[in-house]
Amino acid sequence: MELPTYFADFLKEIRPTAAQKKKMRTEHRRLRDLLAKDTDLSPIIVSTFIQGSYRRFTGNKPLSGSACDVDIIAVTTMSEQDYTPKAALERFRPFLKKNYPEQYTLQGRSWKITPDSEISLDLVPTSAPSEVVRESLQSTRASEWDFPDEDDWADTTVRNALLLEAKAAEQWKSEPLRIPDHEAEIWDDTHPLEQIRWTWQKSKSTNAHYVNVVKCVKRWRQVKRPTPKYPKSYPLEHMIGDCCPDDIGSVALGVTRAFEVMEERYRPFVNTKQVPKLGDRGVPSHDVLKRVTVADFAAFMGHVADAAKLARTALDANNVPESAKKWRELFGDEFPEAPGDDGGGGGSGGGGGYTPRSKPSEVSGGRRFA
Amino acid sequence: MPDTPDPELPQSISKARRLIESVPGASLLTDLKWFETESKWGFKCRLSIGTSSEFVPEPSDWWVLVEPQYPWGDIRFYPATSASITATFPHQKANNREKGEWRSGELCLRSPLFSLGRAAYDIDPVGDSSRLKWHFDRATEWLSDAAKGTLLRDGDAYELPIFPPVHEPFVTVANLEDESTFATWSATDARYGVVDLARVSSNKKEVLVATKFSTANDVVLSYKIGSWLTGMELENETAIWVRLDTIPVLQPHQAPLTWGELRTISPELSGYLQRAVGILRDGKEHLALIGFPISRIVGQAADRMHWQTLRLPVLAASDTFTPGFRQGSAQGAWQRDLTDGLKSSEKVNWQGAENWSKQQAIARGVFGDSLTSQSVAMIGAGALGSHVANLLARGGVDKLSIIDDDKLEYGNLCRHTLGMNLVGRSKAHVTAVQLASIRANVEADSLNDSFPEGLDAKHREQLLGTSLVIDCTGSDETLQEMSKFAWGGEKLFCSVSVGYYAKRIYVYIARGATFPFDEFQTAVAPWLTKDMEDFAHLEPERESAGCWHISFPARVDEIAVAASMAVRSLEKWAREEFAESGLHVFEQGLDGVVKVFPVPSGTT
Repeated sequence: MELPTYFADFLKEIRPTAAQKKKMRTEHRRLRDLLAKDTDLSPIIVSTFIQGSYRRFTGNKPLSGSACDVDIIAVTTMSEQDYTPKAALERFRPFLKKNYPEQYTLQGRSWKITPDSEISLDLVPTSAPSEVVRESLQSTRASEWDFPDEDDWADTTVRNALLLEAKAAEQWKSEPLRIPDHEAEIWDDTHPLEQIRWTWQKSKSTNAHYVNVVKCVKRWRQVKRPTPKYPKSYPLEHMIGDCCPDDIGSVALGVTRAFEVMEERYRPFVNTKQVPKLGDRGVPSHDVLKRVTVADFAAFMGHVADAAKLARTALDANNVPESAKKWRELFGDEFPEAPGDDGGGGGSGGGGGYTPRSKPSEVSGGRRFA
Repeated sequence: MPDTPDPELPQSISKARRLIESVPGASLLTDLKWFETESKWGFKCRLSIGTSSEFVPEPSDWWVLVEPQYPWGDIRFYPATSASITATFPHQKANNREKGEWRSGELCLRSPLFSLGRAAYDIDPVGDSSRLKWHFDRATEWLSDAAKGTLLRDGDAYELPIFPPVHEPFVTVANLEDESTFATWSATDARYGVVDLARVSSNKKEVLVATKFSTANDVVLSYKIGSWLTGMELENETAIWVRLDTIPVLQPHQAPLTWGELRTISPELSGYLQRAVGILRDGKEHLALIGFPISRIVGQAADRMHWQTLRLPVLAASDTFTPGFRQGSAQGAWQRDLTDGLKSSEKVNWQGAENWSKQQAIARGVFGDSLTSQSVAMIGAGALGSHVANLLARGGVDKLSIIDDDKLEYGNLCRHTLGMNLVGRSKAHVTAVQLASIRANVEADSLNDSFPEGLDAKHREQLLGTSLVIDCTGSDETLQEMSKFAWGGEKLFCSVSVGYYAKRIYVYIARGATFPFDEFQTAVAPWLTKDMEDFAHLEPERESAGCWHISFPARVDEIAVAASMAVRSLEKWAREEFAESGLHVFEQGLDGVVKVFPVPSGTT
């Protein structure tokens, strides 16, 4: 059964909490404001904006004990002629030393800032984009992101922001942003807005269920099948995006079909000891599964095969307790429990036709009067 | 107006709405929202029963409203304003108005009359977490019956449609029609005339009793009334009656709301009414009784007259000039009425109507000091409560507080201790007044509100000062509230109730800081099950035609016995002859009353 109210409650359960959202907003704003006030950096920063899974509505709350990860892009005027990738990153060190002492580490392509144990900010600078891009960045207000819930697709501010970005993304198709990879010593292409636009488009063609399908499958990976380490996060999201069919009527159906199609499509690669090459939405030359080893991919697909079978059983079950039990087996305890003996045992959901009861509902004992 | 934040959604309601998945054909359209004006949580759903009819679309959309204290409190189903039913059916409130996102036609799902062979006591499982599923099941059954036109089936108690009033003031006129008066009406040609109305009470919500129907020349029918009504003042505003051959009702089960609809459905009405209103042209509003035969049982021949009250608007003066008519002619005045107060678009100002024909006929020494010195609070002043209170007061208890939020109805009197003159008044208040009239030193006060929500600071103080609290509501909800209430010290608690036919009497007594609800439920459960097994096959009692509500079968003598056993148990307890808190169960029958639990020592 599709159990839409159960999935609604599961998704509510795995959403970032109000406190977590508040923290993400506060820390992001603080960083942005500090950068704007910094006499050294503010002249070279065009704008900052949020990217990543929270921006696409595909992010879950972290597992307990882990931090919320917020990805921030700072678009700068540093030209690639004047700055090596390493130098571009190092440009931020004095600022970080002053404002986030002991709280920053250099990674391959970003600075990881951890103001406390509950949140980490991933700051990625870009090199100078063209005049066109710079102008459209300023007009999209892409920097205003408040971590709304996906329910707010209907919210006008969110919708307008998305519409403008869709236009901007079109404009930039030929001009991705460039970020520093100092370990590889190169400036690399990235197109976060295209990823965002693609997600929004896919959401429209799946009756708004797509982002919820992604969140459910990601949660399955995080909670029930955390090994192997890769593929996860965006690469996992990308595979679901390719495999989740359009025009689905429920999250349950989307999840089941996503697993089944992944199994159909990628099983031949496992059989021939390969990893498929999947081109990134905005930068087709990038293979999102580049980091995944053959062994890890095979292990991951083993989980997918099992999940596809379990999801199918859950979907095809014709009574609530059985179906809820199977979904819970797939997703874990965050998925709501089926009711006890009361309330269970209806016919198959949807489709009309009602069967008269043959005896009164079970009632404990009789009545008292006065 | 500043937005107050919504209250937190209770887990119990969040969980309960998932029960919709177990209802075939049901789906959630709009998830839970808080409705501040209703003080309820509501969600919109779609029900699909696989068939449609002229008045029932398929599928149909519904708003379900639930109180925050679910699984206690109210649950209501309303048709959505679009994609749902717009007509009024039996077992439904009048569906003629839009109220925001839904229509006014709330479904009456607690009536058992439309399901399961009509005989079972299928009870709303209040307090059970799956209660919403019971309501969904009933709603789909209701809808299916509505589509098939079987909400009222042959053999059911007939239910009149609701005749909704338009504005204050609101008057109820009672009649004393029965089978023998029906014979009188069947034998006469008289169609209209003047009806005498006697006052019953002097409070704001007027209740009047029809006593005599006359024509210009004759008395058609004069009810046999007792000395009390005989001595009553007659209402001095003239009222008329008009007799029809069939009930004016529109499909599927709605009263005509406008004069246009009424004239269309009862073409003969105009002729009679025109002649009847001649004497009413005095610039004032007058009452009219519209009579028609009904049967008490659906499918059977009519056996009783029903008189439906309406308030006529001020009619044209008799010397009205209407073009085309001679001035002062009756036809001229009537023509003016048809284009004015009685014009087709004008709403009919229906009023209340009740049948009071069923009449029923309606103890010594002093109890021990340890009981009479108690100051008593009684929650529930219904049949049982009124008897217990009367016995206590008559037996020597001087201080009593009565709490009940209900009003006394005529139908209560066959088992209650109060009288006709108090119908329409607050039960708590009039019971207290009656108790005060028993002996000079009785201090009795009342709270006409619910426990504990209705308690203000003064009443709360008073309650804290009582020493014996007696529940006579028959409701688990009250006992649950009694277990949570801060009583401010140790009290003696007692709950009295009876099972079907009052065969079993449950007296639960405990001393403590609060009422031990859990222990009570555990102790009484096996007895309720036994009671259910003994009586589940019997048919529920039929009341007079009107919105059915559960009336439990038990006679005044059975109630009195139950009250007696309760009072005796209390007396024994107060003398501390019971070792510990507990349930006492008695069974009564023709051979007397036997204590069946705890079993007296020395018996097998």
